Amino acid sequence: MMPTGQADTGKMEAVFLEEMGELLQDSEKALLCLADSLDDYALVGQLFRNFHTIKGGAGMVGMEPLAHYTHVVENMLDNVRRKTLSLTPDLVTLLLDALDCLKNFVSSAQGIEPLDVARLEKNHDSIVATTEKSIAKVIFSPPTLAPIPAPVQRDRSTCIIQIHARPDFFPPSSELATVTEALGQLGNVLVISHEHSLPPLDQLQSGEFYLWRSVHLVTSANTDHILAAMGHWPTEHRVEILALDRLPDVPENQGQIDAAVDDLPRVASGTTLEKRSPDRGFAPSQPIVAASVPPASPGNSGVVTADPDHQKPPQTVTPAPMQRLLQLPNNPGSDTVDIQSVLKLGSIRVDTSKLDKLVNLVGELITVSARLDSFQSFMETRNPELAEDLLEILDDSSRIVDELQDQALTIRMVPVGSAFDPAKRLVHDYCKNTGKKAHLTIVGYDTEVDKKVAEQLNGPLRHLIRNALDHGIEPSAEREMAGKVAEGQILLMASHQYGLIVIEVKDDGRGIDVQRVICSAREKGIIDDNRDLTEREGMELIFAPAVSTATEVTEISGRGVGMDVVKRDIEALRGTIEIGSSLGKGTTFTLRIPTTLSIVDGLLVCVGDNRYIIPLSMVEECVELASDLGMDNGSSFLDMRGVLVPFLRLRDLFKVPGEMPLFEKIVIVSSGIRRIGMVVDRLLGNHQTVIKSLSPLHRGVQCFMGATIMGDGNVVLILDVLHLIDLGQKMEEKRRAKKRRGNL
Amino acid sequence: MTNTSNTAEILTIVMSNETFAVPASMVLEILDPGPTTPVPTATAFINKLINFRGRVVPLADLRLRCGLPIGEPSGDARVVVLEIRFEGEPILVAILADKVYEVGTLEGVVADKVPRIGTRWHPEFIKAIGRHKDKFVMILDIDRIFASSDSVT
Repeated sequence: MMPTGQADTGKMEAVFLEEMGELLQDSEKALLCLADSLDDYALVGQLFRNFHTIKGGAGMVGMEPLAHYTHVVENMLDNVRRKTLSLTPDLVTLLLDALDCLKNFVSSAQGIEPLDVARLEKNHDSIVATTEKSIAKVIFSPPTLAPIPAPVQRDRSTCIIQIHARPDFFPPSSELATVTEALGQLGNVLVISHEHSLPPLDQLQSGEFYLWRSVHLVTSANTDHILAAMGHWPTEHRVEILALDRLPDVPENQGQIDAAVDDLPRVASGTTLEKRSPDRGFAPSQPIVAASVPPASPGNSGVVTADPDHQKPPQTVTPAPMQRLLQLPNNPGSDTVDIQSVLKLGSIRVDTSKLDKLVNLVGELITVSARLDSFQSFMETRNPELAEDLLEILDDSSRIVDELQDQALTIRMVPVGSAFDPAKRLVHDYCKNTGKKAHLTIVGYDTEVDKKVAEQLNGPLRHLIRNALDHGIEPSAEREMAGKVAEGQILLMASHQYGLIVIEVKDDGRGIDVQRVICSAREKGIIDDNRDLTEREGMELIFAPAVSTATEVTEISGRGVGMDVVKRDIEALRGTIEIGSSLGKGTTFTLRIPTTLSIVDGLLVCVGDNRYIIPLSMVEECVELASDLGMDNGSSFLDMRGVLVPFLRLRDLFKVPGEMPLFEKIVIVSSGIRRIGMVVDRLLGNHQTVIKSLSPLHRGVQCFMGATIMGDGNVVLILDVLHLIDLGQKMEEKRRAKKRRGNL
Repeated sequence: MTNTSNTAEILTIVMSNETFAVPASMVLEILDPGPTTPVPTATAFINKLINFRGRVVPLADLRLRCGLPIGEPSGDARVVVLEIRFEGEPILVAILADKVYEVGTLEGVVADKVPRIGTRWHPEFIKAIGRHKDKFVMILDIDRIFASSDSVT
């Protein structure tokens, strides 16, 4: 291994851990698909490759225990891949558990959590046990054993070449390939790695090479030729060549059994390969092939004739904790290829802080462009001719700036599905543990959303799915009684609407009894006895912190555990959460969240002396407010072609002093289902804005989602439409409830 | 100069005819008053925003916070941009001053605790009283002024 500086090693390790995280995510996805279709061997292949890559990478950055553990898993997967081990739901669970252990590995290496050694060992042992079972099965399976006694030509003899590498020797893949190739030219070659030569995990010294290999060579060449073919190995390492006069009729050692099991066709065709042997427990450093043969002295390769009958497999001792193997795959050097392929594939890995910086700079550029635009307008009054020329240049530049902005934002976009993957796992595990049956359907996996949004959706989605499983979906028997399919259905659906990403979490469970929620909340004193609640207000009690902690309400309503947290998380993303439920039929949570957190197309409006920006994506239309309508306190409705829309006068909300203009404008904004009108003084036109978040000192100010700097250098606030819709709706409902009481 | 712990670089400012001091290390820039943007529904002493080199920064009127009378605006008024710590993070905030003097060295702290009586301002926002050029100055506890601020009315 090339000596690397401390910093380089750390960097390499960080890159590896990140890649490993992705590979684990990918593997989890594959495993969960596999759980649904146990015969999809393409997925097994994918998993195998992933583990193989992790193992290679772990070796490269010197994380020996990780490499060993991954190898054990890989080995089991290999048996699955070769169909010597059948894929069962239990096996999937075992593999999922292994993934968790590996995740734990990653976060412990990142210093996030301690390594759960007990769990790791347990998982390791189960995997080893499972793998061994499969091996045992194979031994008694005649068809696979049949081709073993390969035709041995009398004029050729079989040699067993044992290579005890120096501890500090890490053969580069290319060197291994050269040697095996050279040997392959002499005859048929089989390379066996003896990973049981490894010491137990706790005695491992990273940076030392423990593996010894043996090569079975059927050749007519003599010892000198063989030694010559091995280049400088015989002088550097302990190499022993044992000549056998015939191949054993019955495979008596594990290496041969393995070789026979799956690689014989290739052996016969003279391909060089190296075979993983299964994780059998042998005492460390104890050779298996020639246990009874006195070893030749180092560097001096004697030729010893050994009677194969003496090659008794040594006694199996307790399984060595973790065994390592540096494997030479069919494609030499593919360990490195695997690692690099992640980096290649037309993509590069970029630090997100750099991306943020880029997006910020694009934002500054847009601000400067706006300044140039207003300068151009100013110039028109002074020098129309020059202003005209400048306009041309500005058109060109704004086109490029627009494109730059689009591109900068797409870089940050990821499929929202990355936030859905943990849900799959959750459903799988939950059903496994509780015996409830549920099926998760995902729609709109590729819907794009800012990476940060996707990341922060993880928690809330997990909570919602968990709630659906816990409280929504009934046990199968109960479902059948109600005439539903036995398997509960959960739908996770994402789509784009109005510049927002809309995510629905829908179950066909028992639904929520609003009246009982209201009653319980009254009993708890959370709401006033006399207060009239609309159905929606009742439903929204679910999000009240006090309700969520009251267990009785939870039992009755079947919902509400930590829903306040979910709501808070969604609001932190400037989104909203709505709940709809139908008793006995199911519950739907609808999340609406802006897809990006940095730039927005806005409508510039004027209220009093101040300008505000309304995100254009949420604007449906603008109409003039008839002056008589606005004066009447009793009616704050607008008749929009037969649909009554409540409206909110920003002048009142912002306590703007002074006369209101004669003709106010109403901007109808919508979040999909709900809409309100916002009454403003004037409309000033469209404006593209970079969202600058408000100072933490203004955290409590809810009407604005941020601010922006205009071309003239002034700061303008951006209205938080989702919050204002909420506010408008609530005011309206209150007003209606009051009116109802008045009528009674 | 009494001892090193009692000396510090300070910026002296005037608010409602009283002289206050802020640690010079906090001061980023002193600006002439420019356009401001009101923040409706925000708490009164911090209900404006300014553009400070492309950044949106809240502008605070500490006279409202400390209970000082608001006089006529003077031509000497300045905006002082500070970097303060808020919940452990450095953030920018601007404060209004009727007048700003130069940066100087505090000549000594005469009182670690501010007597609760005999002052017109809220004593909890004064860290200490020091002497500067034969005058007493009140050293503002800037972090505390903003830490406890409830930003909504």
